[in-house]
Amino acid sequence: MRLQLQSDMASRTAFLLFFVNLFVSWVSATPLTGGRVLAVIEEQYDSTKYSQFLMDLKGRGYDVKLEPAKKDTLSLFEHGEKVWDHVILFPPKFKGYGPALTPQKLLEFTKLGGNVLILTSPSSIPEQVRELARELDIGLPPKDYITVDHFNYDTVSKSEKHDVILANRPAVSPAVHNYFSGKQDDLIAFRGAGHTLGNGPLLVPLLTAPRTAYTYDSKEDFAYAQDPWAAGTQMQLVSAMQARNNARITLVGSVDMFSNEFFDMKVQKPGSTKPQKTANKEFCRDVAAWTFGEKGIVKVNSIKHYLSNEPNAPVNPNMYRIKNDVTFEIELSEYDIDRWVPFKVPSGDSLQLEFTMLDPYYRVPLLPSSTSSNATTFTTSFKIPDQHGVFAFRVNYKRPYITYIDEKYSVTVRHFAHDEYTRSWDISGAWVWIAGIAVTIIGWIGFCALWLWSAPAAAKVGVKKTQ
Amino acid sequence: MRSTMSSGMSFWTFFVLAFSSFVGAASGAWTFEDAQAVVAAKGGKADTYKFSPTQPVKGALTLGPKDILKISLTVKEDSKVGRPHQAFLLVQEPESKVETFFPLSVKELSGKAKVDLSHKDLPAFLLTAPSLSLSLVLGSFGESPASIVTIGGVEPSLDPTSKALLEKQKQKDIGEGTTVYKAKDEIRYVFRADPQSPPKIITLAFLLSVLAGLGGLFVVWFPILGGNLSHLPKALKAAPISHPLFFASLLSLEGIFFMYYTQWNLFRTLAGMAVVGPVALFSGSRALREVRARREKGER
Amino acid sequence: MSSLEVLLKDESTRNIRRLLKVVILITIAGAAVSSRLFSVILDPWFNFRASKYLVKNGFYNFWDWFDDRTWHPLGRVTGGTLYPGLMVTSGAIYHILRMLSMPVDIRNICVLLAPAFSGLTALATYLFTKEMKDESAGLLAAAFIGIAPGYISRSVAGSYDNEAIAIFLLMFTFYLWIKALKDGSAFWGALCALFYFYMVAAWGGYVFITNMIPLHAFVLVLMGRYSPRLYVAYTSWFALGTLGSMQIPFVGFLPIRSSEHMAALGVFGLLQIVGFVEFVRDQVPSRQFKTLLKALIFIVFALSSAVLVLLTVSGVIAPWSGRFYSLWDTGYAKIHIPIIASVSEHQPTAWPAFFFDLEMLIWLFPAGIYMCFSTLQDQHVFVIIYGIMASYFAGVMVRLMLTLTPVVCVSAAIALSNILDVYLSIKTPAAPTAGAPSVNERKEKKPRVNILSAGKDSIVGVYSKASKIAVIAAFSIYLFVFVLHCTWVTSNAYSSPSVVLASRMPDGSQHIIDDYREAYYWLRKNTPDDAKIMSWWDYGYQIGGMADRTTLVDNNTWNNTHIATVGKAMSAREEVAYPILRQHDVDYVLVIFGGLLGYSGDDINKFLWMIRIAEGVWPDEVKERDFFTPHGEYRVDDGATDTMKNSLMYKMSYYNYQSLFPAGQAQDRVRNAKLPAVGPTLSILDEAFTSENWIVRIYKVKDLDNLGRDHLSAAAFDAGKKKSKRTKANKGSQRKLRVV
Repeated sequence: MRLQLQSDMASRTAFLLFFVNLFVSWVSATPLTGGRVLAVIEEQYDSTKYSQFLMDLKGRGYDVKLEPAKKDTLSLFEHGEKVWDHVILFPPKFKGYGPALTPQKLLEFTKLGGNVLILTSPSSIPEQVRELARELDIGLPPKDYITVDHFNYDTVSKSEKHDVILANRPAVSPAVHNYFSGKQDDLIAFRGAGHTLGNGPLLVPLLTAPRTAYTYDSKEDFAYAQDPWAAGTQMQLVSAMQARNNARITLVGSVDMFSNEFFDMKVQKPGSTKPQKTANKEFCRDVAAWTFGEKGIVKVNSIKHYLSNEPNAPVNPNMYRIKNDVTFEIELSEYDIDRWVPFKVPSGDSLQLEFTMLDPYYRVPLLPSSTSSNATTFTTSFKIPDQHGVFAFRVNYKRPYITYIDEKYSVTVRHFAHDEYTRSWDISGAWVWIAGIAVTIIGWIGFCALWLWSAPAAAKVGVKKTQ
Repeated sequence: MRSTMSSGMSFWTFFVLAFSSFVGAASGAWTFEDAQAVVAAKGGKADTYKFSPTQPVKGALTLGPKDILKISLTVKEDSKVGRPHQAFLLVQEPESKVETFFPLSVKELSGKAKVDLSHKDLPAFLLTAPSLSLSLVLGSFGESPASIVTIGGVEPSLDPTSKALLEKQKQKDIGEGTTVYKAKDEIRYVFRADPQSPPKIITLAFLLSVLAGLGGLFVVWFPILGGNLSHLPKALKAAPISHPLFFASLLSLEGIFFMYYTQWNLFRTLAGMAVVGPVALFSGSRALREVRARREKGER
Repeated sequence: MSSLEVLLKDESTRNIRRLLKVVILITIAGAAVSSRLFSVILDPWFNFRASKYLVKNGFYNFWDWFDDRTWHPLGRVTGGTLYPGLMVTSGAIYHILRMLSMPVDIRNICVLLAPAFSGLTALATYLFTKEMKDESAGLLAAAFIGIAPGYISRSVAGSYDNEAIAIFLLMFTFYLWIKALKDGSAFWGALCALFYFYMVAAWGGYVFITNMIPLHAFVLVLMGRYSPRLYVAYTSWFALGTLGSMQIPFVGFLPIRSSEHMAALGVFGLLQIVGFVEFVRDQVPSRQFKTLLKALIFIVFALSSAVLVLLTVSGVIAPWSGRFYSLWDTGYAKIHIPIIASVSEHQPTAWPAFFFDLEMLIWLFPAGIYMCFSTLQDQHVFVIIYGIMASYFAGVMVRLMLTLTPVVCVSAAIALSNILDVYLSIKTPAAPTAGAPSVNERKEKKPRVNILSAGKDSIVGVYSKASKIAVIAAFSIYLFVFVLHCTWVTSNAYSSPSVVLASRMPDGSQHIIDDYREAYYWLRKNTPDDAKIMSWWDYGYQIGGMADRTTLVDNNTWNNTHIATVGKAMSAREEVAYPILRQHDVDYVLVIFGGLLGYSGDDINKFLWMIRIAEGVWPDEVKERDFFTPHGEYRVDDGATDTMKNSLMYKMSYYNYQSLFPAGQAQDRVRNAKLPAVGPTLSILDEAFTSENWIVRIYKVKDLDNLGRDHLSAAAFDAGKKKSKRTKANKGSQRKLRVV
């Protein structure tokens, strides 16, 4: 774990940082999803601008390497494997990134499980990022469109421009684990441009613009916003796409959010009485931590299913019979910065088990049955439907902010074997027929005896049968 | 792309300065007056509703498919007419809080602002909502506080066919988005009803009648028709092995059937039959030959 | 007495004759077996798989077998939906051989079962024909059935199908029935029922027996030939046979619930009434009483028919099944049950097929029937009915040629044996006057004479030796040619199994096209064990057996909806097909494409059936009309409709095909069409495998896009195509709202 700094930057700060970094990397282990971070940043000047954020990353065990955007030898892959675990893209000074960072390569990188944090600024959104955003169904404003809000701006800094927006963290929702809704009176300073999101299920907003914010063309529409690009809560300031393989791409509309300046800034909303320190440091750490998989990673430790009523039934058999009673268990853990903790389903949500063949036959909630120090076991029981076929136990738990759980476990459900039906004597309606058979047998035996041994009576018995 | 932030900055500064000098050092809030909402139907009929920052339109306006909602007002910065940088009409679906905006066109000198709203301006999601709330947001750079006021509500009225079309469009817009990320409705399988037996009392009645049939048969055979077993000694004397063997093999055949019914499997049954069957066949032919001999003697 | 007469009739040579007979029969059986060994490839793989399962897991597990590797994800209750006779037979042989310490692989038993049973069929035919005429006719019939191509087509080595044993059972059951009828024996009736039970266990065609025997009995009753013999034979067969047939799980309660079986039940009832009436007639001489009885019969008959109709209408008795209707109306299946009509075996027979399959027998057949008319005992009535019914059915369906073949062999043998009887006797008949007494004799023996048998009493004799020699020589040549024809047909037409195609090279050498096995082997080696393969149902058994992979549909066409689902996926656009593929967990899609080789049995040619079957279930989504050009042509070239060009089947068939040819020269050799210059593109599938001659093409179904895009745009992006830039803000209703 080395801090890559050029020699001319061997200033005191760098020295200090180096030692701090050395110390921190000693105590903290490598993060769960790997610690190799590539930070694409244009000039060393910029890296000092964001040193607090970068140091914080190093402090959490990441090995951050800074590289300029146009470097020729830069590559995300080697021999088909990714050589970085995470990429942070700072806005480039000049036109775009180098050939190593085309949208195709970035998507290939996420396909291999790498996470990407993209920081943009309104004056510099390279074509690569635009193209990538189009693929993600994120709408980016044209160059030099900026977001302003006449209700929630910082009055301390340059109050005339209203471009430092003070956003609140997202509201706490009972139905989701929102890792970004911390203290509700936190103010997050934002200077940049918002973007819009499509309706794709993989997109999640991390920070939404206030209702009165809007984005307009700062070059043309200075008199009045006759054609604003986007406005209100439909506009996002920070959002993310969690791909199906759980790789995360986060897009931030303001690189300044992550700067030392904003971390230390004191801000004040119009109408409020005293200035307040921004929560940018905490929020940006949350964003990075979530993007790089320190939070919101849920894993399935084990899945068990077995017959409910039989104590010695084998676990996870391949075959059940219709109308069996089965119990299904799933053990889930959640990663929290540096350790696995029991996963809790939010109170307004439900972890559901489906029992499906083409369509779900059951969709029942899995309820926590036991909790250990680092995992929760969720259980449910039900009776297998009276339909044979190849069924699947499916836990399809996809929620914003946490990794997708889509566990599918196929079992065969067979019909009753020939000797598993109710025996006829247990069915009262069959008694008549059973008696009929018994009567026939007894009558036949009696007839045989008569036929064999009956002497002729006064009336000739049986003769009529032979003739 | 060559123009950097700094060049934009200078432009900015210029604009801000110019703008603030125009507005002056006004400290009052942005507001409006002479506001009215007109629902203009195609035939020329128009209903006018007045409203003000403190008095929204009472009741919801109904917006038919061909109607146009025309909102006009005069924007004031405190008491002077002015043109704010932001003058939007916000249209919100109250339940989901999904909101879209329509910028007003504001005349610079008179502060006269207006916006038209009709069905074709509204996205399908909003158009299919039962009611929408309208707000007006006015704000600009400088010191004057911005304002946001609710000015009323709108109920889009749709005919069923276009409603169905719009619902389809809405589903297409949303895609699978809404179906993920939420707990779905619970499903519990409903089993087919088990076949029912008739009431036991009826079963028992029939059972008794079947058994009575057997009794009746024996009654007919023995007391009435005079069946008897008095030839048994004679038969045993004539064929001492085959008679008992035949009868026993018949009984054991029935026994094998019974065992198959209760516990044996097919192969065991077949083996049993293979043993007993030939015995029954051979002893039976002997025994029956003896019976025929008796008949031929006229003893039957 | 000539020496021949001595040899044939004399008591002293009886043993020699018996030995000769046995030797001849063994030779016939040997010829029958060996003519079926031209080439050996196991074909209906399902039966083989089932037999393996039976041998491995035992009878009871086989009975309860739930097969989760077919009909994914429905699975198949195999034990309850098959005719187990074939598998149980080979399983029993397997165990007997092992008991005799002859460990034989079950595969060998399966391969050789059909030829072995064809030997038995020859024996059964001999027995049957012997009951009709005499032993010499029997031997002729046995020889005919042994080598008749109509039967060989279904019983070459490796053709391990139900028919392999069913024809033997059919003939043997009929023999036992005739025997039971002749003797009026409950014993033979019971044996007949036993073999009927075996037949039910072995083949769905048992319904033919179920209706033939009652029909025979009914005709006999109508002819006034009711006798206690008929009563005993029929009732013992019916009671025991029906009980037996109900033991087969697949048949279950059908014998008392379906219309196909009602004839047997009805005739059973009729015989009871007739029997009762005959009994009463014997007891009561009164004339009025007889009239009364006749009225009674009529009333009972009418009443029971009414009840039958009522039960059918109310649904207690299942109405006639579609397959049954299609026997009477050849157009029925095409409209109502396309799945049946889509099978080539279910097409009406072309007339050359009769000559191809039966050669000279087909013209001896009517002569034999005529001979039967001329004697017309009870058993001859049977042959006549059988002949009429079977010829009708064989005309309706190619497949039923199989049931016609035995009766053709029998009656041809009767005819030929009559000819030989007449022309082979060296003795010149006496003057016509001498024949008179014998006529009287016969007349005394057979008091019942009718018009049909009017000519039978005149003895036909031939005086000229030359004409005898000429006729015998002619027939020898006919027989010789017949044998040649049979051998040729067998070796050329019926010994090339469907999985291996043979073609002739320009120099006349044979070229084997083995694409199927190549592809199945690829599947077996390169796909995960639990991969699900979607293909048209024709290839289901082969994929299940040879590639050992799970299939969606197979040759057991019990579930029309599921097959229609596959048809819909094949005929739909990619984006429509994809959810279907996902829902059914499909990993690979397999299509057969003959365009390169000119192999006409490919999927594009079967495509219309897929569309029709799918249209039957989803008439709103799949429309056959859309696949035809406005002029009603079915085209694959530039003129093909958009629906056709966008269908998954079309795309899979022609994907990358253009790359084989110079630009714009792509040619489909089956349909003789020049293909569009630009080939179709696929976005939801990846080409995984294409066999040497492009006959089998396998595609892998892509996973959902990692970023939730649709496959088309994902593919476009990967190809480097840029999306249209849209940076300007949308206004009003154009503005996309995020409402999630």
